[in-house]
Amino acid sequence: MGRKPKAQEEQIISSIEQFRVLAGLSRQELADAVDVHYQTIGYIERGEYSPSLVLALKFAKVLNVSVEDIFQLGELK
Amino acid sequence: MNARNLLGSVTGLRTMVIAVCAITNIYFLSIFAYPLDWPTAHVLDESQFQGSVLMVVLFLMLRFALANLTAARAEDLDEFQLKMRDDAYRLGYIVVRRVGLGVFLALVVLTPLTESFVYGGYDASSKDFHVQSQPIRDFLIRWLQGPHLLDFAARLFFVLAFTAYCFPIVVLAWRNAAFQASLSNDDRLALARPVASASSDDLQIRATASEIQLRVSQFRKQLALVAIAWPLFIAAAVALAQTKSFIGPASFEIFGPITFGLMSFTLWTLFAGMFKQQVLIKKTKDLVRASRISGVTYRWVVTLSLATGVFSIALPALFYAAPTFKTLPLTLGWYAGLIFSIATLVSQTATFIIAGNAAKRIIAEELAKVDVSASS
Repeated sequence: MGRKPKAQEEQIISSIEQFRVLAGLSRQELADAVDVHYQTIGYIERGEYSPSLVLALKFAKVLNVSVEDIFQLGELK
Repeated sequence: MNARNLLGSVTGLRTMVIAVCAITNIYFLSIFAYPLDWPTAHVLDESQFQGSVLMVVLFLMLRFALANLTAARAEDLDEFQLKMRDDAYRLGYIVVRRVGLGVFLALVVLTPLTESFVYGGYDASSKDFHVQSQPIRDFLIRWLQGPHLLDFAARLFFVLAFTAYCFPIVVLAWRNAAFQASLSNDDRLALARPVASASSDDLQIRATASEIQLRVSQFRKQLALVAIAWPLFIAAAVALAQTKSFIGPASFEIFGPITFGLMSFTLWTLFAGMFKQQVLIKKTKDLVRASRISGVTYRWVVTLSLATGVFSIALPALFYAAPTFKTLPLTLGWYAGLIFSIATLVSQTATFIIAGNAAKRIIAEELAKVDVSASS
C-alpha cells in the first residue's frame, strides 16, 4: 500500500490495463482469476506495485500473452 | 452504524489513529504536570488508570477493525496485502527503535544523569555547570531528582511496550485509510466491465490524468502546511524585529529547533515541488496534444512554474547582486522575505490546483463513460 521506492516505481512499466481491457475482463474478474484482491490489480495497473514473478506468470497465462508483453523494464538510470 | 462500519471509513479509521496517538502521548506527558497546583495534579493522578484503559480500548477497536489484515493467516492474503502488513510491522519496529534511542539520548543529553550518579546528586542551581541558564534542562533535572522518578520509569516502560505492540497496527490503519481513499474510483471500476470502445489512447489519457492527480494529492497537504506555517513564521519574525522583544534562553531552546525544522521543511517542499512542477508541465503537454485540455491551461502551468523558479531565487539574487540591499534594515529584509516567499508559494500552489483540476475533470469524464457503459 505504501509508496514504493522510486527505483522500483520507475523501472517496471506495466501494460496490464490494456491487456485486461482487450480481454474484456473487469478488475474483479482478473483478480479472481489470479487469486488476489481486486484492489491489488488497481495498484499494479497504476504502477505503484510490481508483482512477484509468480503473479506475473499468472497474469500472462490468464491474458494469454507473454510476461514481457505485460511488463517491461523501464530505462535504468 | 456498527463499529466495523464506522472504522471501515477513511475518516473513522484516521480519527481512531489520531485518538490512540493523542491519548498515548497525553498519558505519558501528563506525568510532567505534577509540579502543577494540587487540584490539577490530583485530577491527573486520578485519571491515570482511566487513561491507560482508554488507550487499550481504543487500540483494541482499531485492531478489531483491521482484523481482516492483522489476524488473517498468511495464506489467506495475497502478496500485496502481505507486503503491506510486513511494511507496517517493519516501520513500526523502526519507529520504536528510534523512539527508544531518542528517549535515551534525551535523558543523557538534556540531563547530566551520569553526573548525578557519579557525584551523588546534581545541583541545578550550581554555577559551575551553568554559564547560561537552561530552563528546560534545569526543570528536567529537578523533576527527575524528585519523588516521581519511579513512576516516570514505569510509565515510560509501559508506553514503550504499548507502542511496540500497537504501532504497526496504527501504521497499517493510517495507510489502509489512504488505501481506501485513493481507491474509491477503483471500487467503482472494479465490477464494471471495461468500455468496449476504449482505445489505448483513452487508457493512456486516463493514466496520465491519474498520475497528475496522484502527484497533486500527495503534495497538497505538504504544501498547505507550509502555506500556513511559513507566512505565520515570517510574520512573527517581522513582529519580533519591530518590537525588539527580548528572547530569553527558554525561547531559544524552543524556537531554535522549530525555526531550523520549519526552514528545512519549507525548502525541501519548495524544491521537491519544483521537480513535480516539471512533471506536471510534461504531462499537461501530453493532454494538450491529445486535445483533452486547452492550450491556455498548459500555458498557465508553464508560466506559474517559471514564476515559482523566479520568485524562489529573486531574494538571494537581489541580496548578492545589489550591495545596497545588504544595508537595508532587518525589518525590510523580513518584509521582502515575506513577499517573495508568499509569491513563491502562491505560484506553486496555483500550478498544482490548475493541473489537478484539469486531471480531475478528465478522470470524471472517463468514469462517466464507464458508468454509462455499465448501465447500458
